[in-house]
Amino acid sequence: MSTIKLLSSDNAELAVDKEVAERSILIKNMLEDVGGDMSDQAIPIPNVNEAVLRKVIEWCEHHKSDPPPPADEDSDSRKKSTDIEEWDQKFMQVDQEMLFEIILAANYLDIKPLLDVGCKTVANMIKGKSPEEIRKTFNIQNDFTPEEEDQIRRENEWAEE
Amino acid sequence: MYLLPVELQQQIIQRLDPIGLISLSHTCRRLRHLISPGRGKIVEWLIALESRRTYGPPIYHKTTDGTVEPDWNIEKWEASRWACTACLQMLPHIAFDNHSLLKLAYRKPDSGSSASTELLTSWVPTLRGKKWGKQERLARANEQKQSAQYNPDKPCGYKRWRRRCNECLYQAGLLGPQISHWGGYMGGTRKLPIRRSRLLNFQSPLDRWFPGIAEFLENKPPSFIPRVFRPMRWNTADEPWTMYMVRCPSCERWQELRMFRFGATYVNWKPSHNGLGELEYWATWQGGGLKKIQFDEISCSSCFAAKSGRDAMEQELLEWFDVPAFVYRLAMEARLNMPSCRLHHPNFKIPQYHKELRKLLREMAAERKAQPEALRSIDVATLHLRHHHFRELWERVKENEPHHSTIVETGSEYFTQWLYNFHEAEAHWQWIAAVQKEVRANPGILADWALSRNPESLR
Repeated sequence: MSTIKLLSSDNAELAVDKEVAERSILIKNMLEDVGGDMSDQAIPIPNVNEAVLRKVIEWCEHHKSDPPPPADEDSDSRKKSTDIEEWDQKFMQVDQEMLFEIILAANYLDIKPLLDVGCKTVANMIKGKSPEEIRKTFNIQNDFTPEEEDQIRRENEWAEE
Repeated sequence: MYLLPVELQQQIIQRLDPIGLISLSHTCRRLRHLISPGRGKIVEWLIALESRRTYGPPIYHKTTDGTVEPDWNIEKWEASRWACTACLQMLPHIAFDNHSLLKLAYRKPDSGSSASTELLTSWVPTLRGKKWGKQERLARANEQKQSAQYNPDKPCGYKRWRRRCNECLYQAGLLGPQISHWGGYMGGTRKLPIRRSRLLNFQSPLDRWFPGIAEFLENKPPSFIPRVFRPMRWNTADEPWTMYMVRCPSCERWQELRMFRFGATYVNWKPSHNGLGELEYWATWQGGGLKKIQFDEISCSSCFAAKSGRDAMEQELLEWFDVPAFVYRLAMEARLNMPSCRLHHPNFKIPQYHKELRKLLREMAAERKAQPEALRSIDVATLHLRHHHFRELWERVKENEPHHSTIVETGSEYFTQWLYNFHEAEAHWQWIAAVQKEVRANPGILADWALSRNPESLR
């Protein structure tokens, strides 16, 4: 099995199986463009640092045998569920900064299933929370004017729990 | 999350549940603008909210025997709320008809079930949160239908987005007379719509039409409730009555039918009319007869009092009070006379007591023939005395002829009820007679009762 090298934004070189690296559509396309031979040269991943890249590779290694996601984004059935596999749940038990870095990396590297798991994890963090709890969780600044707040409160007075 | 690019925020938003979506839109201006929840998303939110335990459990209705769970115990239902997808509010049960709450397609799913927790918002990142092409609309409708039928084992609640409260149905012009299968028209008229509501148990017609009236009377009811005198319902103290919610054309409030001062005194009566909004019913029992009312001309007690004055309302309430009160009194009188039983059969003999029993039965029959239509106190006193004689004689029969007494009592519920519960009916007869006198002397009691009531209350 051939290996390739990935170069993180902080200049760390990580060796990874080609099959694992090809979970990323970005890397896969790049390898196809250069004829598949990148054994002597590291592929630069300028938007992802070493720690995040290691996490992404860990995920790709665990999911290397998964079938490829459907090409048609709209028919993607993964979106219709909030279920996350147990291993993925544990994998995503990281601090918020790392979680968002993984999502950004998955988006940059075009790893749809990982992006999906990341988005679902954030969605599950929002689920069942009140606006105030969400603000606290994600450190969101409440910038509504008092009039706007009043209006929202009036609209939903009867539904507040 | 705030620092993620917009397209990634949109990816996260798409994976939210309807409650999370609205909560997130309430956190800050930027997210509110990004989500811009439209009417459809608010409907999804309400439907998701009503499934939560805080808005009450689902009501299960068994169509095979008509039972519901939790029981028709309205107190348990009061705290629950259901979503109206037209006025976008969470409303109490009285705002809806039975179908909107109990039909499988409209019922709340089990709290905590996959049906209530796995719903995802249909929000998509486009202008106004929706794709507006025909194909997109059709695809979305199909998707909603499939996601609504989430749980094949319990496919309930998949039409909740169509649930509307009585007022919204009225405002949409969807309420009015509907021909019914037993003849006549149900549903009231366009001006005075009537919607069938819950099925509640009451002890008597008086209790159904004037609940809580005893609190306004000086004559308090006996502490025990008279048992129902009806086959298949022996030893019960109440019967199920259908409630009807009516919209008063004057004050535009939905109120229980009793606030409109008409009805009937038997359990299965329905407020049907002849298609033109006219209804005939027995309004008075003494020297009166049928009274015809025009639905479009009636209003609730408060509006009637405001328009015609308190005196007029007192008189109308008095006239209406007489109907259930008199029926109640008649029902008690029927229980004071000895019912037909095996003892009346010419071939049935209890050797040792035959002559004595025959004599007593003959005297009772003769007295019954001489009774006036409505019993007087003296008549009731005579019946009391006869019952006492019979009871005394029967104790002796039971002691000396247990075989025969068992034959008579077995399967003769009317007879045993009269024999052993005579005092219940007598006490209630005395009470209702006193109440009729009290109310006729002071009809203001009825006005006080009517004006102090919460008109929406079913009890």
